[in-house]
Amino acid sequence: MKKVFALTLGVLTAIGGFVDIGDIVANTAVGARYKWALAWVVVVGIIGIMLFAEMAGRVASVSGRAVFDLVRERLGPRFALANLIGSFFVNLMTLTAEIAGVALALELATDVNYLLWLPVCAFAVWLVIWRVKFETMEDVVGIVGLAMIVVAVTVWRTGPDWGSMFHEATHPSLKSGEGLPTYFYYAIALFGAAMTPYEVFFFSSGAVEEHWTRSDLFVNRANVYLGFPLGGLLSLALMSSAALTLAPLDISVAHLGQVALPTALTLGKVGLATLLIGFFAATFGAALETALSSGYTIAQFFGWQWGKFVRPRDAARFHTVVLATVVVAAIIGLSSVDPIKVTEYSLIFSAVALPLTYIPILVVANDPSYLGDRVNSRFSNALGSVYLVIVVVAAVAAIPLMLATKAGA
Amino acid sequence: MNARVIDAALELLDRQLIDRDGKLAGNVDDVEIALPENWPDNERGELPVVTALLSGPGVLAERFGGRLGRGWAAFYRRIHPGTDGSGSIPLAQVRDIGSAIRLAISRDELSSTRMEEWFRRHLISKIPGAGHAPE
Repeated sequence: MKKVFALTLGVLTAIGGFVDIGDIVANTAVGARYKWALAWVVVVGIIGIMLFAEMAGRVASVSGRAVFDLVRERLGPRFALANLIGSFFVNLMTLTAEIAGVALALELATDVNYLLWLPVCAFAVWLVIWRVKFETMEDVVGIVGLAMIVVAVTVWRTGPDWGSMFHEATHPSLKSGEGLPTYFYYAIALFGAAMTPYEVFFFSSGAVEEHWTRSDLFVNRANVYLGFPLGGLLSLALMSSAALTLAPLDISVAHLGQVALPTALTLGKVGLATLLIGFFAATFGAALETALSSGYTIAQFFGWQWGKFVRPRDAARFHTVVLATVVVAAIIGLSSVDPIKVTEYSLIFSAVALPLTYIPILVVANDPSYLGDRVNSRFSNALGSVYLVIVVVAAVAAIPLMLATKAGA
Repeated sequence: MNARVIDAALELLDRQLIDRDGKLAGNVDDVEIALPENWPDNERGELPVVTALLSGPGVLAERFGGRLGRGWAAFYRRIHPGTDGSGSIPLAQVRDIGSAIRLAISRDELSSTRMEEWFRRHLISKIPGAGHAPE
């Protein structure tokens, strides 16, 4: 049983990190608009995040150093500060969207306006970080989050023509009236959703929180190779359910309720209830991850004591940052900004911040003073270099495409 | 002597400091270098040596330079009266240099962790459960 639970860090990172509010919204919106024409981006994204999360987890297990430590050591304080400001800003936007997402899931379940739920959710997020043991938090959220699998059941029960689905995914084509810039804008949003930097901040810091060592490298691999493909599968299921149900009705996604529509139509009340539990766990998990990541990144940049593996009073500045971030995110959320819009923008800005995080990981994963004989294989380096090119292209193209397409309008 | 050559820029700067109790104690934000007399024309051929590691946001700000760095350093001095805020750690207190730098002293002895103490005393310790031991 302990072995099973050893895999929950990957499942939590995947459920909360991969399938967070950003992916739920982006995959459904893209499925409703492009059907499977962007499915390839999800596959590219999963391989990328697996590659870099494995490196980050390996460095953390062998050397005890988490990602933001490395960012500063390798890029120097100036670039690291630029990355810190960018990542923190993206993190805060994401946290705002996740807390709003938890509140929206509760609104769908209770019919009580999400703005009333929002402060309760924010407080709950902080309380869990303050009091609940890291492993417990991860096990509960990871396992409850598996309720998201109901989306895959939805797709299966809709009874799609698997052959034509596969054909549309492998031969992407645009319907008339759709421009290429908008298509690539959504491609970058999906890629940003898959590769969001807080996933590696959280995963590598989580490895330190769980006291992984050199002997846990197998656990690291298993987490990466099981967790992220599971997240990718759920992303593709969300995209497919939207493509099968929403696209024919010409519904474009502007509300979390529309994301639940295919499951509600296909599986009825029980399906919907299961999905809402899944939404709740996924967004709550992501809120925990982003709130912790805001503390992890700042504390690691300055070298402060961080983490839940010490008493809160021994990591005072870390807990102060986490508390302040949750409060600010709740205030932004309460200003009734559209959570779906916040999510979409956060994905594009996270694409811009990607290179500053992934370049140092690749560099350090080749450094024997950190990893001894566990440095990258040639294959990892070759693939890693290809991904760096993709990441840089996406980062450079993100803002111009956002402006040119009026954010995918 | 079994000498190991250390690249100060790569292996010291920006590394994590860990104190004698295993607590994270800041980063190496700068290093102090002592120049021998008359260097570089010192007749005995003495070389500059790293004498201490410096840590703390004030030190980091000096390294940044520019308007941002100067402003930050000035602000830091203002909230830390009577000190430059640099936790200066003589090299004699360094136990090991690896992916992190291990010290022979406690982080509470460093002036650079004053802010940690302030937040501990005035905010975090006041919230119930702050001393709750991690399992």
